[in-house]
Amino acid sequence: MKGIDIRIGEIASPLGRVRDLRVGIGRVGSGTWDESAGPTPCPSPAALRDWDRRLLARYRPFYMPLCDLCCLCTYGKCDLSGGKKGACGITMAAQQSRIVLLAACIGAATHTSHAHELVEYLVDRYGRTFSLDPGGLAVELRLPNVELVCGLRPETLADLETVLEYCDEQLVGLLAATHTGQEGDPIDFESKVFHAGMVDHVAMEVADVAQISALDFPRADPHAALVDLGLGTIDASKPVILVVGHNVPPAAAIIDYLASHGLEGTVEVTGICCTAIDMTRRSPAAKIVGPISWQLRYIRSGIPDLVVVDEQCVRADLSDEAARLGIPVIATSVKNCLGLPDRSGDPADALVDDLASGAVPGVLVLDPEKVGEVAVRVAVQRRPSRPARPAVDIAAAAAACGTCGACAGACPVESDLPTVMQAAKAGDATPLGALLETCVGCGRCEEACPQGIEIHGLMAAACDVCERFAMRTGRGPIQDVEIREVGGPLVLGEIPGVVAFVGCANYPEGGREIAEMVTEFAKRRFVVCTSGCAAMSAAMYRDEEGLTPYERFSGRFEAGGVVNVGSCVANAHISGAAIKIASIFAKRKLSGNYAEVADYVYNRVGAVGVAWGAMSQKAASIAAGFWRLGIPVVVGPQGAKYRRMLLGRSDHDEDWTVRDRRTGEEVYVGPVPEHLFIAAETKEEAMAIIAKLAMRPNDTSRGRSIKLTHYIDLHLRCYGRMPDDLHRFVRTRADIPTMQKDTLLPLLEARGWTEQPIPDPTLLPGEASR
Amino acid sequence: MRVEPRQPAMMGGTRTATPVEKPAVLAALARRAKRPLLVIGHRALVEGDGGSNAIDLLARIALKAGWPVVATGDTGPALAARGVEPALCITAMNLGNRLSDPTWPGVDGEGPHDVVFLAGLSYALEWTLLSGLRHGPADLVTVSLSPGYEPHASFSLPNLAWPAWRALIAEAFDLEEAA
Repeated sequence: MKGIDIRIGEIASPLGRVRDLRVGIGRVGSGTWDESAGPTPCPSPAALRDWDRRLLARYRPFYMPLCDLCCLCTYGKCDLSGGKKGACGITMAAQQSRIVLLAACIGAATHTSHAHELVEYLVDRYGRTFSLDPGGLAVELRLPNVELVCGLRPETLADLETVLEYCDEQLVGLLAATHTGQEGDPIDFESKVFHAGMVDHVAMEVADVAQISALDFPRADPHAALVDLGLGTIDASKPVILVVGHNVPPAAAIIDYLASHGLEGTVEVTGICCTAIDMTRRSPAAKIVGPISWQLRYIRSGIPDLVVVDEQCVRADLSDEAARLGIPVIATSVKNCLGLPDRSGDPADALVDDLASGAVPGVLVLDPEKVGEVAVRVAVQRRPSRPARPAVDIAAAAAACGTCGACAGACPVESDLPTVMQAAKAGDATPLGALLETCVGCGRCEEACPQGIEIHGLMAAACDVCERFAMRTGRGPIQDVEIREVGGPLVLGEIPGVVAFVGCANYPEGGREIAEMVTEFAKRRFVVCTSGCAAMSAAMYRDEEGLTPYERFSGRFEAGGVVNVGSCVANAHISGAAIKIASIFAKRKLSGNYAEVADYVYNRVGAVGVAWGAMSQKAASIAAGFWRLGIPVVVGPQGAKYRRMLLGRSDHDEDWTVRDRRTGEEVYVGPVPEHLFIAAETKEEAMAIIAKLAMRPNDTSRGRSIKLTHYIDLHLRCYGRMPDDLHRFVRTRADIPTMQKDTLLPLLEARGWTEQPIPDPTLLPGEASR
Repeated sequence: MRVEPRQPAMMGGTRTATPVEKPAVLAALARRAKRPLLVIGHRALVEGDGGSNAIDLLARIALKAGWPVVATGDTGPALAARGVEPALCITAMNLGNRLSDPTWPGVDGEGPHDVVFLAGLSYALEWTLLSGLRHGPADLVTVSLSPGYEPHASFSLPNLAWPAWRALIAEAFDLEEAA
C-alpha cells in the first residue's frame, strides 16, 4: 500500500461544517472495502510457492527442448544434451523452464505495459478520479483478480496505477530470476511462470476495466451488439482506414473524430486483431476484418487508404507491405515505431499533407487524438486516388514455380503448396484459393520461394470471397447475478463446465474448427466463452440455418451461452468469473487469499481454457495465469512448441489424493483434472480432452454422470471405443450415466473398480483451508 | 537424398538423426527391436498419394510385424477398420511423457519399450515430441518413419516423395504387395 487516504464523514471546523471530505496523498486503492487482508496480499514470487509446488507435484513438466543449446551468455554456446550441464551449471530442464519463464515474462510485461499506456491516456483524458464502472449495478465485484491478488479494491483510474506498480515490481523480479546464476531448479522456475501468469491476469483486468469504464464499452452486457465481421461488410467505395493491434486509444480517437465532426458513416473504420474487437466495443459501426492472420491479405487487397498500427501481434514488415501499394502508415506506440520519424509534435495539417500526398510513407504519432484527426483526413483525401486493385494473372505468376517444395517445407500447417501451384500453372486456381481456409497468413512460403513468387498473394487472389458475418462484440465482465445463477450447477457439476476459446489464429486446420468446437460445447450446455482472435474465428462460419454461433446462442454466462468477453485483455474476465464463483457463490474471502480461492476453483469449478491457435508469448502468460488458478489449458498441435507440457499421470494413483475437509483423511479422487497444459493433435481429440478436463473432485454424482456422458460420447467419436480410463473417473455407481449402467458396470468391474467416497476436497493442509 | 530437416529452420542442436536411406537399415532396426512400439498419428489418414493413404501401409506394418500400436489424434477408428486394434489411444504429449519415464511399463505392462517407430504425426508435432524423447531414457531409440527428415529422432527416413517412401517402407517390411 502506498500513499495516504483520509476520509471524513463530517467534521466541524472554524471554517464551517464539512461533509464527505477525502484527502489523498499519493495513491491508494483499498477504498471502502472492509474485508480484512488475507495471507498473501500483493504476493512476492515466493509467496505462493507452496501452492505452486502442490500443483506441480501432480502436473510434472514434460520438456521438449526444441534446441539443445543455451546461448544466453558468453560461456556458451553450451550443449545441455545427454544430461550435460552448462558452464553455469544449469541443466536442460532448468534451461527449458527458464525459457518458458522468459516467454511468460514477455507476455505479462506486454499486457502490463499495455495497461500502463491505457491508464495513463485515460487519466489524462478523463482525470485521476474518474470512477471505475465495468458493469454498473450488475457488477459489485469489479476487479476480482486485483482484489484476490493484491488485496486492493480500486475505485478510480488513478487507483489502478498502484496495481500496475505491483505488476512492474513482480515482473522485474521474475525477469531477474532468469539471469545467469539465479534459479537453477526447474520447479522454482515453473512456480515463477505461474507468478508471471497471475500478474498477467491482474494487468489484463486493469486494462479492460479501465477502457470499459472510460471509453464506455459494453458493461457486462450479455446483449452487447452484434457487429459486422468479414471483408464483405466493408463498403470500399468509402474511405477505408485499417487499424491493427491491441491498444485501442488511436482507434477510439478515430471513431470519436468521426462522431464529433458529423462524419459517421462516411468512413469505414476496419480492424484486425484485438483492436478490431475493442473498436466495435466503442462503436458498433466499426468493422472487423478478421484475426491476426488477415494482415497480409487485407493490406494486399489494396482496400485500405491508410493503415494505423498500435501494438502487439502487428507484422514487423507491415510498413513494407503498405509501402509497396503506396498506403501510408501511422505508427502510434512507443513499442512499435516501425522506424518512422516521430512527428507527434507536428501540426495535423502538415501530417495530413505529407501522408496524403505520399511525400512520406509513414509517421510515428504518439498522440491518439492527433492520430484520430489525421487518419480520417488522410483517408478521405486519398480515397479518390486509390488505385484500382490490379488484376492478378495467377497462371502466369505460377508459371515460374519449379515445384522445388521449399514453400511446403516452410509452411507451418504443411499445406501441399507444390501441387496446387502446379494446378494453378495449368489454369485451375481453385485448389490454391481453397488453401486460404487453413492458411495462417505467415507468408513464410513466399520467403522460402527461390523464384520469389507471392504465393500467399496468389492464394488471396484465387479466393476472392467477400463474406459477411455477425459477431457479438465483447461484453466485458460476467454479472454477479449470472454467477449466482450458475455457481451452484457449475460447482456441483450439473452444468458440465466452462470452456473458454481464447488466443491467436495459428490453427492447424483453419478457424472453422473453433466455430465447430464452440457450437459443439454450447449444444452440450457448457458455458462457452470466447475472446481475442478465437472470438473472431468463431464468428466466421455459419450453421445450416445461416447463423453464426453468436446469432444462434445467447450471450449470457449460462449453460449453452456463447459469451464473447472481448479482446485479449478481457481474458481476465474469464479467470475473474471463476474467482467470482468462489467469492459470490461460495463466500470465500478474496482479499489477498489466493491459495484458498485457487484451491476452491481447482477442486470445484470445471473450467477449461482452449488456445487452439496459440502463437504468442502473451498466450503463454495468459495460460500460466489459468494454471495457477487450477484451470487446465488445451492448445493445438503448434502449442507443443511452447516446449513444455504440464501433464498428470493418471496411472500413478498416489498422485490423485486430496484431503477431505470433513474428515481430514486423504482420499483418492482420480485424475481430475488430468492435465494442466496439454497439446492436442486434432479437433476431435481436443474435444474429448476438454470434456475430461472439466471433471472435478467436488462433482456430485449427478454432475459427474453428466460429465461422463459427454466424455464417453466425445471419446467414442474420436477413438471409436470406450475410454480406457473410465474406472478412474467413476467414484460410485451413481456416477455412471443411467442409460449406460448395464454397459459400463461390467467394464468397470473387469478393471477391479471399487466405490470411493466423494470428499469435500482440498489440496491445502488443514490450517490453510477453511 | 537430402538429410536436412524437411522444415529447414528446425535444426535442434549438436546431434541429428542418422538418416535411414536404405530399406535394409530400416529392416535391421525393426528386426533388432525387442520391445517395439509403433505410433501412428492422424496425418496418416490424409497423407499419401495414388488413392492410398499412409495409414494403409502403416497398418500393414503393424499386422506384419505384430507390433503394438499407439493411435494418437483420431487415428484409432481408421486403424481398427484396417484390422489393427490400437493397444492404446492417447495424446502424443501424454505418450511422450510416459515414454520419457524409464519406469513406465509400456502399453502392455510388460516393461519399457526399447524402440519407438513414429509416423503420421504432423511434422512439427513429431519434431517437438522427439525433442522431448531424446532427453528421456538414454537407451530409448526413436525411428521416424515419416517422409520428412526428423533431426531429433535417433534414426529418420530422409525427405522422400510418396512413391519413394512407399517403396522404401514396403521393401523394409517385406510388403511387396503394397508396393
